[in-house]
Amino acid sequence: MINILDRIQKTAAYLILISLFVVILLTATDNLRYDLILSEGRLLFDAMITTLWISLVTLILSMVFGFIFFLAMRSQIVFLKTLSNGMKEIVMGTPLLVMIFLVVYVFGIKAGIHSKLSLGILAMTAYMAPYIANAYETASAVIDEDQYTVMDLYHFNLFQRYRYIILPQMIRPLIPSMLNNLSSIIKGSALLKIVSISEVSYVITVISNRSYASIEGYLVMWVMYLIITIPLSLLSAYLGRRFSHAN
Amino acid sequence: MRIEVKGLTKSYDGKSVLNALDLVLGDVKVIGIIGGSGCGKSTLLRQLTGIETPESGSVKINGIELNSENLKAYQKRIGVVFQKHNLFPHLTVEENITLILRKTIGMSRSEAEVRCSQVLTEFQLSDQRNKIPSKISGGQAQRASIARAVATEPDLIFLDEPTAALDPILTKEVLNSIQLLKSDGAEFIFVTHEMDFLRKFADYFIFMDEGSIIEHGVIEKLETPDTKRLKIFVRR
Ligand SMILES: Nc1ncnc2c1ncn2[C@@H]1O[C@H](COP(=O)(O)OP(=O)(O)OP(=O)(O)O)[C@@H](O)[C@H]1O
Ligand SMILES: [Mg+2]
Repeated sequence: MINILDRIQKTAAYLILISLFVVILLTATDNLRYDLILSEGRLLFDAMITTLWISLVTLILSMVFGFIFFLAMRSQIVFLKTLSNGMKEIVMGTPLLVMIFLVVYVFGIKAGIHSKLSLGILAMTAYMAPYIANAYETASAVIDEDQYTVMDLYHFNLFQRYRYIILPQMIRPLIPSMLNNLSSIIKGSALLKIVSISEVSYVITVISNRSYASIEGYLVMWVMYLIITIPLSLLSAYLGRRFSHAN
Repeated sequence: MRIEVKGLTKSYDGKSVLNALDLVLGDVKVIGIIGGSGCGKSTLLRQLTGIETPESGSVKINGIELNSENLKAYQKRIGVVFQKHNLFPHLTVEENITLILRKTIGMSRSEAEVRCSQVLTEFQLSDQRNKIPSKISGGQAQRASIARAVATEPDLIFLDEPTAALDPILTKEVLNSIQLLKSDGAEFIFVTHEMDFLRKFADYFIFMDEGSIIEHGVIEKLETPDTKRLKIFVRR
């Protein structure tokens, strides 16, 4: 009985959300001309692919740098600990927009790097690394004090600790949180349009400026990001549930 | 084993837990440490294993002083069994044992597997070898942790209330495993608050109260204690 009631409620809630969404898409302004945007299907598809691979590369790089960050944050060496925690505070307080400007127009010029794409990815990596480091920190909390006692007793070195004991246990809790981070990166990558990288938001902005359909452009952009981020979030929730049952 | 403890002191957050312990023992095989809850038994055991360092004083075991220079070599020669099994939760029983053999003792994979099979057979865990700790009973897990401690063929084994977390039936399995250690002629030091456990295994007892060693002696001495506190403890 309760199950059926729950189901009805769920269905109703979903129906309301979907209708609201459709109403917004259909009534945003008078004379909606989605065709002006959607006619550039090929460009949109390529842009989506670009967004996805830029985001994946950023995720992988920030997982690497985030790990170094994480090691520094929990280091016994006070200097490293203080340095990394200080950097974390600064980066976490910096808007992504500012980070992109800093990396592309300050660091890039000083370092003589001209590839906007590389600099854009670098900026997002720098922005994400501390968040990923925090995710590692949370994931590593599954390893209790007793396990460290045993590792100390048997004199595991740093490599052995991470390779055999700590990392294998961090993977499960990390997977859902990495999917969520990927989602944040994908949304964040929309800001790369300010440095003219041909990802979704830049390409749509160009198309809609050309055809004087900027509202339609933003609505299509909205839908395109949701098409990627909602499945990711569902997958993350599903894996999170599965792993917590398995334990 | 030979033990020389001099002025061993330890406190937590300014509260003294071991009050300048002195103890010299030669040539005993199995020592049981007894005493009421919170009297410092586990703390003393952690000091003897070198897991924790003393605030002041020194510990010498079989002639080796436990200092930063000797600690690694010393800890390679001992085995420790904790109150909770402390197996690595993501590794199977077999992997828990072979990992230590390969990484600590430097055995090859095949040597480690052979040695692991021996101890698993000895502790009747062969059919549990491929399970992770959460899929076996508490008694089996504790036996596996004894097997892990024994696998490296240590000179000396430490056990801190290895049955305290178990119900009576599971306790019995673990006691059988400890009996096995005893019949193998292993030297070990264990902590307990159960007199039966003590009488069954120990040749020698150390009785502690409030961070001090009140009385110690051969196990027969329990029948005629010198101190009033031990008399009361034994009669409980
Ligand atoms: N890591 C620690 N931090 C702070 N206090 C501690 C710590 N370990 C032990 N203590 C305190 O030191 C005292 C002695 O503890 P210990 O664990 O050695 O007692 P015990 O004799 O083993 O007791 P039990 O029979 O309950 O295991 C207790 O008062 C305990 O609260
Ligand atoms: Mg204790």
